[in-house]
Amino acid sequence: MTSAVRRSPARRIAVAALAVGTAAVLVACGSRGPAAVEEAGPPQRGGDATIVLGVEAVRGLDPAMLFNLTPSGDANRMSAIYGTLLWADAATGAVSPGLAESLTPSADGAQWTLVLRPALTFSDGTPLDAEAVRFNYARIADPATRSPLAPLLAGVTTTVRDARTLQIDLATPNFSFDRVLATNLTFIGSPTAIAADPAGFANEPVGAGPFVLREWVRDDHMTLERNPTYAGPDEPLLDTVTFTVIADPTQRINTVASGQAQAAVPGSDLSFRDAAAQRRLAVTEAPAGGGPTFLFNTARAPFDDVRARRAVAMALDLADLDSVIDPGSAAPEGLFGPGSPFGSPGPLVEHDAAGAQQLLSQLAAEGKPVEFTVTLTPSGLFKRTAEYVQSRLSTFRDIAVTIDIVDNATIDQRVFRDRDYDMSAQIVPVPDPEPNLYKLLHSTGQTNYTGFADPALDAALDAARSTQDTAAREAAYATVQRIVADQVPILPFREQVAYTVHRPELTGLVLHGDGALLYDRLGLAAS
Amino acid sequence: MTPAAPTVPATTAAAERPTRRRRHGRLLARLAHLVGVLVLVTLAATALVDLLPGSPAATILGPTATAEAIAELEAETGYDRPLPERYATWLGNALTGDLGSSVQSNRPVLEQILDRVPVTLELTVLALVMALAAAVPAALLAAHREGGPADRAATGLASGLLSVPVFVAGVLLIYAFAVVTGWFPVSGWSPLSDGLVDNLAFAFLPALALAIGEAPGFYRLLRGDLVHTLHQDFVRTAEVRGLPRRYVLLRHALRPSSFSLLTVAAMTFGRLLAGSVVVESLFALPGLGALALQAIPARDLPLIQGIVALVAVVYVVVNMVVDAAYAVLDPRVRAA
Repeated sequence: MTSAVRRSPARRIAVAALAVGTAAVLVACGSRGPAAVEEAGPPQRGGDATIVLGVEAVRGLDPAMLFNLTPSGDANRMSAIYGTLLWADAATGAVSPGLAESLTPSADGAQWTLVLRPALTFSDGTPLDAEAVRFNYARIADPATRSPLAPLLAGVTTTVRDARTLQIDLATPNFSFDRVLATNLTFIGSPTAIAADPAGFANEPVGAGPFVLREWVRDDHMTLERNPTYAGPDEPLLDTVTFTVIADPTQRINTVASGQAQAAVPGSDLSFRDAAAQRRLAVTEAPAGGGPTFLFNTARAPFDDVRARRAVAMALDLADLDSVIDPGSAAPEGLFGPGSPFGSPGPLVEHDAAGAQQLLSQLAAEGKPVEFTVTLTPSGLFKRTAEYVQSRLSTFRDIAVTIDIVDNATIDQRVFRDRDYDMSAQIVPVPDPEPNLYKLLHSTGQTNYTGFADPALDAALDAARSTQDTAAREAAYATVQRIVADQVPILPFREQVAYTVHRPELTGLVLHGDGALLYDRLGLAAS
Repeated sequence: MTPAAPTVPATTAAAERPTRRRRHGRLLARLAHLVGVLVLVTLAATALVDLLPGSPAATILGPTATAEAIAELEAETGYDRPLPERYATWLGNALTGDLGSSVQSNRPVLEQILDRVPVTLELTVLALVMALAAAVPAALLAAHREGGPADRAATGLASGLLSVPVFVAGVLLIYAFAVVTGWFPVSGWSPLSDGLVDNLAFAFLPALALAIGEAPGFYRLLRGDLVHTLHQDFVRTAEVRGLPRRYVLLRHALRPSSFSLLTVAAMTFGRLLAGSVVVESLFALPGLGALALQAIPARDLPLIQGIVALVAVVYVVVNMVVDAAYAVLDPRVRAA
């Protein structure tokens, strides 16, 4: 039985007037309220959940055509529709089975055997068997597809051993291939639907995940209903999941607080965790390594000189930087994050203003003053970062910083493709060093945008992926951290925490990859 | 005996011919103006996108694509051709109703635009109605007793509201009427086809946020014109004849004072239809502004061209309607 408090019109008007009056004050002062989250009961079968995301999946949801999936955009949708063959814990990078029962390496790490769960079918009735996985991987590798994932499968051959078993032969041994698969090759589409309309598949995705696409109104909502034929590790509880798109992160939180939605992915600013707590919402989070990271273009002046990179890294007090750009966040613990068995905790480069000034003066005396441009996207976090860097470094002599805020397409071209930049930044979550750190730091890495090439670093990264021995990996990554701290091709500047804000009654939130949810776990607690 | 058919005096018929010719000429000139504006605006939109770094092909293939792969896709899609050739192809297709397909979603541009128009159109109309419903009575009241308490209060309020940016108004409205009281939804949209009540519940706050931005301007404009008109001789004559003040205000002063308001309201209609980006983004409305906001960073040229063409058409058509409305409001314009 429900009860409602009836209010007189005069009282309602008074409440609204008071609210309007106080709204400006509260917004201006950033007032904080109590933060007690109610306990939720056990989940039950049934119910509808609305998840608020930040951006529309404008390019559709074809797993072969997407790269750098974001939880606030396409990753959550993909996870719900396709499920996952394997998934990597967003905090630790530990790989767990999903639609695949197992993925095991050969003794030398050059051959992997993927075994699928029995009775898997796509929602159009096509079996999700070894042939379907082979079809998807062959499509990615086919140059005609122009898949951004193709480099991950370069030199890889796949052989169907039986209906549920696929043999994957790698070009070079890699004991971390399971992490590559779990983070980049985990979504499989129906071969029947892809073959019927390869171009249209992105807009009408068919997977074997816990939910099936029912309706998609772009920039408004995407409604999914429970897949009755889902044969993954858990049984989906919710009847429907609806994704809505709200660009403003505060509005995403407000929408959940008002009860219009059950969860929201706020994006990269960690300060929204406080905003959620003020509204008595729960936060499920996964702290990892990496995070927002400065990239120095080591292929040209001034950052082709390691002293310039060191000077900037030493000049910046990251704890202070984080308190300004993202209140409530902390500086990163080393290269690998607080819970990682790799590397050592503490700052990667110690803040040393005097040392930084000494290096800057030395460079200026040699006729190489450190004058550079910070090229960043217009997101709030990065804009504030650029302004902070310019402001703080202006207190030093022999250094000049210019800010260049450009849109994503320009960043793609200038920074990532043409390497026409001095200093930039991107968010690189590192729950495990593989695969993201390898791609970023190895001289042949797919995302080595700094142009940094160090044989010792390459050797350490290769050594780490060519062994299953934990001690050997720890030794290799200790070397990696030492070289990065010394050479500073990159500098993580804020802790990495993937998180989702939700109403307490939404339970079963497990974050994987860069922070997407596992949708066969989600449920609503009995009220 | 059959009555003789009425004959038009020769002098009247002769006078009408040049008038009709003049009207036809004016209409043709208007249409030529429409075509000229459309060509210039869409050409400029195409050229501007060309000047921006990044290309549609590069956006499609992502940051790790090689230069060769980008060049290959540009050749396939025709983005490597010279600007005049690309524009001529687009224009030829547009004349047959084919605005192309979005480079990102691969969906027809016309279909995407038509999906969004109802949202933005409803938002614009509601905002204009709200703004005018507040501004016109307030201006009449203020002009009625120029310098009186009502005038000072309304003018002070208008000055205050003029300095409130639309995003601030939107945030405050959301906090007060959605977060605190829960009277309206925080964000989102419910189409008219799902019921009028739900539709208005979702449209009210964003329309009000826009109206708060527009109403003060409307008020100040109309109040100023009304005050000026009320000092005219014909108004004084009407008052001397003993006509009630309310009658004089509504029947004698309002009509000649509404020219500027009509022009500005019409321009506002065009502007809101094209540029409610902030409000659409804040309230998560699937309108044209949100679509444009998505298309520009993605270098989605066909989509940008389609939106720009629509906005240009709206502006020119609204201008034509305003011209026609002048003639209705003022017989002197008809005679000219």
